[in-house]
Amino acid sequence: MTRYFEYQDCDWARLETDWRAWWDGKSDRPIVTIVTHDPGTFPESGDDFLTRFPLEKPAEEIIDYFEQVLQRTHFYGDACPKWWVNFGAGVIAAFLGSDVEYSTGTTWFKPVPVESLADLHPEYDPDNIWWRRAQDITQASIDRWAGKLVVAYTDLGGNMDILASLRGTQNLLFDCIEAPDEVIRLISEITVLWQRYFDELEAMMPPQQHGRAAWAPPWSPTRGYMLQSDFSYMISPDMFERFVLPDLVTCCETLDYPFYHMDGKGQLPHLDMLLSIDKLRGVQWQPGDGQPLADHWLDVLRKIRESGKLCQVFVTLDGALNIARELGGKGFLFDILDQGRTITPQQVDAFYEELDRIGP
Amino acid sequence: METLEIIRKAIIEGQAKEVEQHVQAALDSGMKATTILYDGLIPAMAEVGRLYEEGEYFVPEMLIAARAMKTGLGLLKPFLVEGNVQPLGKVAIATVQGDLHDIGKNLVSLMLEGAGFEIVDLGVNAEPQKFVDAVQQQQVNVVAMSALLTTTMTRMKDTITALDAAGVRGKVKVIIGGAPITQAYADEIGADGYAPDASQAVNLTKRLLAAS
Repeated sequence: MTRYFEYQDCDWARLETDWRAWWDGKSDRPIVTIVTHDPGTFPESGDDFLTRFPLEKPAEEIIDYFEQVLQRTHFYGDACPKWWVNFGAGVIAAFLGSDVEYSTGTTWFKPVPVESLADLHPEYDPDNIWWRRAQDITQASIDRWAGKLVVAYTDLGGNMDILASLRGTQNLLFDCIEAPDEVIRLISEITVLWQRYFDELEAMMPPQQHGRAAWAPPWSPTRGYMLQSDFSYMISPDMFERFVLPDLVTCCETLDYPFYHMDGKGQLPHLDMLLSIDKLRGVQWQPGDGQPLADHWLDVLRKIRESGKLCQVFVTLDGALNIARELGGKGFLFDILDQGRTITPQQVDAFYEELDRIGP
Repeated sequence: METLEIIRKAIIEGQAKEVEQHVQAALDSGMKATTILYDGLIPAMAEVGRLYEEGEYFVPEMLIAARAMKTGLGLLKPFLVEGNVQPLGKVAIATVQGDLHDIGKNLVSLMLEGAGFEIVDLGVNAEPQKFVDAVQQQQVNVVAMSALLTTTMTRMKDTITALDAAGVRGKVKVIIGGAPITQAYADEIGADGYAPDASQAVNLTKRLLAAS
C-alpha cells in the first residue's frame, strides 16, 4: 500500500495513532515521511503551482490532472496521503489585492501601489478572484477525495511576508525603521485576516477527512499549520521581537498544532525567542538553498530538541540516520528528500532496518 | 565635532536629511568634493559594512545608511564630474532572468556605489543579452549577477556563455551572489568571484580589478 486509494481504515488508524503519540511525546521513534513519484509524473518545469492554470479552467479539470499525478505518487512510512492546494507561498497577499505572476518554479505576488504605508488598508474581499479560486479548488478537491486523502490548506503565508508582498520587501525594510507603528498596525490587521481565511478554509474541511495538513510534512489530528516569517531573515532580534513575535504568538494561540518554518541561517538569531513560545509545538529547520542539509546543523537541532520542541527536517536517508545516531530519533520528523526521484522500496526497507538498529 | 565626522555619523545612522544638510554645508564652505567623498562617504560605508559583517547591523540598517550615503553622493556628483574624478570601476548589476528578488542586488549596488564604483543598474529579470549590451555599449568592466532561487541561478551560466559568444568575456570580471550561490558554483560556471554578502562584494570587486 503506497498510493492514496490503497489506504484502508486500518492504515489511517495506524497513522493517527503514531502521529498522536509523536505530538504527545509518547513515541520513542521519529516520524519518517517519504513521498516519491514515478518518473515523468510532473511537467518539465517540475512544479505544481495552481497559478500556472488559466483562471477560466474549471476546477474539476484541474483536479482531473492532479488525479493523474496522485496515481503516480507513493506515500511511504508515516506520510499521510494528501493533496496540497498550492498557489505559492503567502497567497493571502493575492486575496488582499496583490497581482499574481506565475513563472517557472515560483509564483510572485506584486506590491500594491501606494504612496506610503499609511495608505495601505487590507480588507477581506469575498469576491476577490484568487480567494474564490482557492475556495473553488479546495472544494473541488474535497468533492473528489474527501476521506480518501487529506486536502491540505493552501499556503496562506506568514503575516510579515504577506505585508512584504503587499508593500514591496525593500519598502517594508525602510518602514521598519521609519514607520514602525504603521508596520505594527498592518501586521495586526493582517493577523486578524489570516485567522479569518484560515477559519474559513478550516470550515470547508469535511467531517470524514482524516486530520489536517498544510504544505509541510507534519500531519495533525486537528487545526495545525506551519507558521513562518521569511522576512525575519533580514532583521535584527530586536525587530523580530517587536514586529514578528506578538502576532506569531497570537497565531499559535488559535491553532492546536502550530509549527514554525525557520528558513535560513539569517533566522538563527531569533531561535531563542521562537523556542520561548509556549504554544509552539515544533520548529522546522530549513538551512536554505546553497547550504548543507539539516543533518549538518546538529547544534541547531540539539537546541530545538533540548527546549522540548519537536523538530522537522528535510534530509536524505543517510542524513536521517546520521541525526538519529547523534541525537536520537525521538521527537524528530524526517522528511526524506527524493529530488533525483531514485529512492527504491528496497532502500526504504534497508533504511528502516538501520533505524530500528540505532534505536531511540 | 568636525564636519566630516558629522557626515560619517549621519550616514552610519541613516539620517539622510542630516547628510544632505552637512554635505551641502561642507561644499558651501569650500571643501573639495573629493575630500567629502574619500574622507566622509566612503569610510562611513566601510564602517556600515563592518557593522553588518559583525552582526550589529542587519539589512534595514544597512539599507537606510546606504540611502543616506546616496543623498550625499547626489550632491557631490556634479563636482566629481566637473573635476573628472574617475570611479574605481563601472559595474553592470542585475538579478538574472526569472528572478525578481532584488534586495541583495540593491544592497550590493549601494555598497559598491558607496565605495566609489559607478553602477549601471540593469534591474531585475535581466536576460543574458542585457548584460552583453551593457558591456558592449557602456564599457562596464564588472558584471555582477544575483539570484535567490536554485531555479534561476542557472541563468548565471547562460549569461557567461552569452558574454563568451559575444567575444566580450575577456573584457569584464564576472561576480555572482545570492542565497543559493557558493564559491564552488562560481568556479563551476567560470565566474571570477563570489561574495556571500554586500560588504564582501565590495572587497571582491576591488581585489579583482586590482589584479587585472
